[in-house]
Amino acid sequence: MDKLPFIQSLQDALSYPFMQNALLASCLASLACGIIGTYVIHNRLTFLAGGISHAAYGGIGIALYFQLPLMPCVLVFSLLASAIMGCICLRRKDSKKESPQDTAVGVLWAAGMALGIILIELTPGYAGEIMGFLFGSILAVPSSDLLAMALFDGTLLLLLYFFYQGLWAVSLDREFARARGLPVRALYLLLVCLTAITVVMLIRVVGLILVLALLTIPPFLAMRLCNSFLLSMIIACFLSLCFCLGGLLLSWHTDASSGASIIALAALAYLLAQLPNLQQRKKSAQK
Amino acid sequence: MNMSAAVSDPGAAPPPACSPKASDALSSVVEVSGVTFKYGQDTILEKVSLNVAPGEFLALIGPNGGGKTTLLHLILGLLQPDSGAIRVFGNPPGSMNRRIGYVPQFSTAWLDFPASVLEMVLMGAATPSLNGGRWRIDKNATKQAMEYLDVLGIADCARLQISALSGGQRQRAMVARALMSHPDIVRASPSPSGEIPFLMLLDEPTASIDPQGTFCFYEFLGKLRGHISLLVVSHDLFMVSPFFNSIAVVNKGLIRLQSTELTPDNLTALFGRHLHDCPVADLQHAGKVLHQTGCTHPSCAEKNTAPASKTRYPSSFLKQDR
Repeated sequence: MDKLPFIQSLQDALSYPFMQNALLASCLASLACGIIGTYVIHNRLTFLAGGISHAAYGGIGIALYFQLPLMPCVLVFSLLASAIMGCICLRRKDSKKESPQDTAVGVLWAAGMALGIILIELTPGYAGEIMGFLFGSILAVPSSDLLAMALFDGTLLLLLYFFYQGLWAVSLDREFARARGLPVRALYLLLVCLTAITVVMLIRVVGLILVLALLTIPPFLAMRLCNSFLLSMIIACFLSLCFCLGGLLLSWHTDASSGASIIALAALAYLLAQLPNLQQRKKSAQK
Repeated sequence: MNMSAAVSDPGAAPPPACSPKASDALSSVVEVSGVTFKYGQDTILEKVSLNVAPGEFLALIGPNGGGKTTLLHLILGLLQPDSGAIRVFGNPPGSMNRRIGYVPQFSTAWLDFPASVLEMVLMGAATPSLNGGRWRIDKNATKQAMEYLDVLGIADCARLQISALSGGQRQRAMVARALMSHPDIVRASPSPSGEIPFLMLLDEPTASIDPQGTFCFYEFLGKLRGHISLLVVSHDLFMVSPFFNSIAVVNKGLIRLQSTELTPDNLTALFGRHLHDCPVADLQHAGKVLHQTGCTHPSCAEKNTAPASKTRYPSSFLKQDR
């Protein structure tokens, strides 16, 4: 019996080592994306995650200009940027003269990118890796990165097991958690730093420009499908994996950018999920 | 749950704030001495002093921005005063929060968070630990939470999402969560020694509740008399008046009112001088009508043994001799 064209196509694609790596990277990134993405949307950290992902460009600039190892440099720079942003978000606003927290995050967002652009322009020669960071390069993930991703996923699961209730409380009601004496600041900073690491991991998959979509769309859809925090996390991981694999196959068939294909698929799912709402609004408006 | 033996009659006149035995145990649950607090250059509270006696039901009223919520946050240790001292159960603020049930303003809990009412209430027993915070979710804890939800009349909502509750139900759920931090508070009889080891801080608990729900809510709080000390931020002088021992106006400074009645002075303190002549008679009349009618809410009507037409509240509330 002949195999279905889809299965045949999948088998062809997976016969290449770079596709096998891409598949593994998709699985590993989806796990972190589903878990951290769920915390991101429930803690209203989307803007901060965007700030971290774009500020990471500064890390790329520093790595290229000073000829440092790229990924570690981006990771350290992103962690620093996220810690600063997290501290700003936690700080009490003492005066009207101080800038609002989202303004400060926006400034760091732009400043990181500006630093990256300047340093990359000052670096002699052509930096071919930059495009991979901007738009993702899941097809070019080396084995060393896969190992780092697996290590991070393992650590994330351990931390989640250990801090699940504390992070849940902080996500639901920060003020009450503080009143109960929970270390809200430490838990919040932990969450922000984990977000930074996840963002760096996802930059590999979809690029820093598109990372926000992958971090928010699967958890948002999961939230609509169930009423449990833990279950929505699991569904978000699954949806994220579906988008990554679907995007990879789409990219394989159309020669389009893999990162863009993944996000296009996720965005399409988001739009489809919104259709019932749009129809309902239309009916309400007609009434 | 047998409430009849444990709770006080909400219609009874408020007892003295502090029994002699309670005084022996601890003279003040909260001691605020000359506290000043500033946000940058803006002074929010200036040389505020306040003592809350064990068992006292104190309402903090005052205009928006007057510093009421800030005062609660200082008592909880969420903010540090610029000068002055605060003691809670004789200890620095923040160190005794396991003996405090706190109900923040309604807007702090995310309404789209995927959690059931029961899950949220269980969180009330959270204690700090090495892993950030933990609480029990076993059978006993669930039973306890269900009992509180039952007392508050929302046991049927336990499995619902927080987002499915009305404003009033959500506030009740938050009170149940606050009570979870002190097991058996409602079930147990008042301590023979007069010790009242639990303080509840409620920040505008009825801000989003209709008058009927507000009435029921304060009626429930009245049932906790003798079990807790209570500090409530409210704009509802009307409602808090019959249920509380004392009222304090917070507007940068703090003034304790001489009585909890709807006197012209008290109404002026709440509404401001420009309305002084107008509302007193109207409000007194409205108060009279309300308290003669009682609450007709089905959930309350079932539990009320006294006929709704009987006045079950302190007659002093309705004094007309001003």
